[in-house]
Amino acid sequence: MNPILSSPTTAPVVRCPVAAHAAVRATPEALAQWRKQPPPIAGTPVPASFVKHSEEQTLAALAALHAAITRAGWTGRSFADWGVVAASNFFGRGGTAHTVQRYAQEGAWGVSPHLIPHQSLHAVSGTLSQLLKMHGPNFGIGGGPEACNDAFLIAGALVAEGTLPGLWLLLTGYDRELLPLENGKTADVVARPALCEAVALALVSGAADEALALCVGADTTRIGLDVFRLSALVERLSAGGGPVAGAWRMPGAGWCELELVAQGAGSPR
Amino acid sequence: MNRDVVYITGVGVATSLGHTYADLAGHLLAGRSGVRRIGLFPVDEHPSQIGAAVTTVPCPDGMAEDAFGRLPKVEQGMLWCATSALRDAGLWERRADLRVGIVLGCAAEWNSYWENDYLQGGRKLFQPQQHVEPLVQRARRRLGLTGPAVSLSAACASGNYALALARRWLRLGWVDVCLAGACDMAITPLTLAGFGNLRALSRRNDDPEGASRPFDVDRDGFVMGEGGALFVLEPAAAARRRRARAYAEVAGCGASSDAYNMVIPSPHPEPAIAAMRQALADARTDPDAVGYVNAHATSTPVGDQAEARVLETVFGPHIARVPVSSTKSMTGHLLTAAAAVEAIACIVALERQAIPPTINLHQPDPECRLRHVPNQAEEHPVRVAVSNSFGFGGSNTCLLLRAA
Repeated sequence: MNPILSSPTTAPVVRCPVAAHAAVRATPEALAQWRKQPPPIAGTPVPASFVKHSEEQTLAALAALHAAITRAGWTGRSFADWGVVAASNFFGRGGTAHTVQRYAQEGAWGVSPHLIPHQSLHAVSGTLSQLLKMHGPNFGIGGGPEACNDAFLIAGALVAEGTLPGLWLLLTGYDRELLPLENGKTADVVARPALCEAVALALVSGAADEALALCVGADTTRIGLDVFRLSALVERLSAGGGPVAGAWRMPGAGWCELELVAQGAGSPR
Repeated sequence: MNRDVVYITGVGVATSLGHTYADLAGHLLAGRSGVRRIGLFPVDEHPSQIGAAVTTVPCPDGMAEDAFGRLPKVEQGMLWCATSALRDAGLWERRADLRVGIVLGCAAEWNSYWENDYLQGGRKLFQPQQHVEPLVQRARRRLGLTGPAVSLSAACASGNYALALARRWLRLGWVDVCLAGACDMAITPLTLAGFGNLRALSRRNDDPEGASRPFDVDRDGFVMGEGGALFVLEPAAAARRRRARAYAEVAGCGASSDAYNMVIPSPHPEPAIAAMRQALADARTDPDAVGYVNAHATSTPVGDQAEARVLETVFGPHIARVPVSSTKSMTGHLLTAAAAVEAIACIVALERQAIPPTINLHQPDPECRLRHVPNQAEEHPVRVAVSNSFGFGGSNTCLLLRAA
C-alpha cells in the first residue's frame, strides 16, 4: 500500500503514515553530555569518538532518532533499505566560527580536516545513515533559516515514489540559537537558555498501525494556516496526552498537515 | 505516481570553461582545462593552490549590473543559470503563467556567506539571522516564479538528487515546469584548506592544467572547481505540444548510501552498484545500451579505483566497449555542482555523438581497466548516457539520460 495521492483534480496531496516519531529539546548541557556519551541507536552503542566532531544539531537528531526508535519498540530492527533526509537550521555556524578565527590566526594549517565532513549540510543524514546502516538515499535539506520548510515537499515526494520501505525525516533547529562568540566559545544572546530542537518522523510506504499521518502539498498559495515553526511541531509531538494535530504553510514551499488517525484504522486509504 | 516521460528542454551553465552550453560543449570536446593557479585570495600557504575558479558571472539581461555585482557569487551563478535555462527553453516570458518550481543543490550557502563576511571584516557569523531569506527563495522571488522552491545537499551527489526530485515533482503534478540542478562557488580559503588538510587535493601546483588526472597512475588528488548548471525539466507531452527543443529524457535515477564512512568510499562496492542498477532499471535499459559513462572519478587514488570496480561489475563484459571519461579532468571537481555540470557532458555526448575525453590520462592505472577516452574527444554513437556522482556522507547516485 503506497502513500495516497489524492485530489487529482486540484493540487495533489501526498499522505503517508508516520510509524514512529519523537521530539527533543536539548540544552547546551544536554548536548555536551550526548557528545561524551551518545545515546545508543537501535540498541547499538555509539562510541563517543564517532560524534566527537559532530555539529550540535547532529547530536540532537541522534537523540530524537533514539527516542523514536525506543518509543516504537524498534530496538534491534534493521533499517537497511530505508533512507534518511535531514533539514537543519544554520548548520555549521559554530564550526565555521571556530575555524575561520583559527584561519585568521594560523592560516591554512589551522583549518581542521573535520570541518567539511561534519559541519556541512550532508553531515546529519550521512552520520545517521552510517549509524543505522541505512543504504537508501541520504541528504541534507535547507541549511539556513526555516530550513525545515523545504523538508516536507522533499520527503513527501521521496515516499510517494513507493520504492523505499521507509524514510526517516529529521528536522533540527533552535528555539533560541546558540550563537558563537569571537573567542571561539558559545553563548546565548538572550537571558533564557539556548535550546536545540529535533524531530524524528518515520514515514513509511507500507501499511502501518500508525496513529499519525503526514499530508504534504505543493500549493504555495494556500492561505489560512500559520507559518511552520519547528517549535510548534515539537510541542504538538510532545503533548502529554500524545500528538496533537496541526497544519502549517511553508512560504514558497507548500504546506503540511499532521493528522491524527484512529488506532487500528490501518493505513490511510 | 505516474511514470510520465520528462524532458530537459533548457540548459543554463556557469563554469570556468564558459557560461553557455555551446561554449562549454566546445571546450569539453576540445579537451581544454579550466584549471589555473587560484587568484581569488592568497594561496601561498595552502597545500593546494590551484582550481577551476569562476572569476566573473555574466549579468542576465534585464538585471541591473551594479546590483547583480553586489550579490554573492553563488547567487549570481544561480540566477545566471536559471534565467539562461528558462530563456533557452523558451519559457522566460511565460514563467509567470506556469507553476515553475526550483530544486537546487547547494551545500555551502551559509558557510560561505559567513566566511566571506568574516574575512571582509563583518560579524554576521555572531549575530542572530532568523529573518534573512535563503538563496533559493530569493531567486524564486527575483525570477517571479510561483512554484515551490527547495534546496538540498548530498555533497558531490547533489545535482543528481535535484534532477531526480524535480522529475518526481513533475510526475506528482506539483509543478508544470521545474528548474533543477546545482550551483557551488566553493573555492574559499576555508574550503581549500579543509580539503587540502584532508589530503584530498592535488598538490601539483606547478602544473595546474595537468593536475586533475582521473584514472592516471600519477593522480594525486582532486582539483577544486566552481560553477553550476540548471536545467528546465517538463513533461515530454507538454514539450512536444509546444515543439520545444528536447536535449534529453531524464530516464533513470538511482541513489544509495554506503553507510560506511563520512569521507572514505566503501571498500564494498555493492551500494554504488545498486545505485547504478536502480538507474538502469528505472529507465528499463540494459547495460549494453549505454553509449557513454561520465564517471565520478575525481582523480583521487582510492576513489577512482573503487568506481572502476563498480563499473566492471555493472557492465560485465560490456565494460570493454562502453566509453568512460571523467570531465573533472577539465572542469575540476565542482563539489555540490559536479553532478549537474556532468549531466551537461552527457547531453553533449548525446547531441554531438562524441565523447568528451579524460585529459591528462597518459598512463592508465592498471586497476582501472576501463574503455578510456584519453586526451582527445572521440566520435561515438550515443543514445543513452550515464553519469555517476558520489559524495561525502556515503552518497551514491546515478543519472541516466536518453536521447529524446
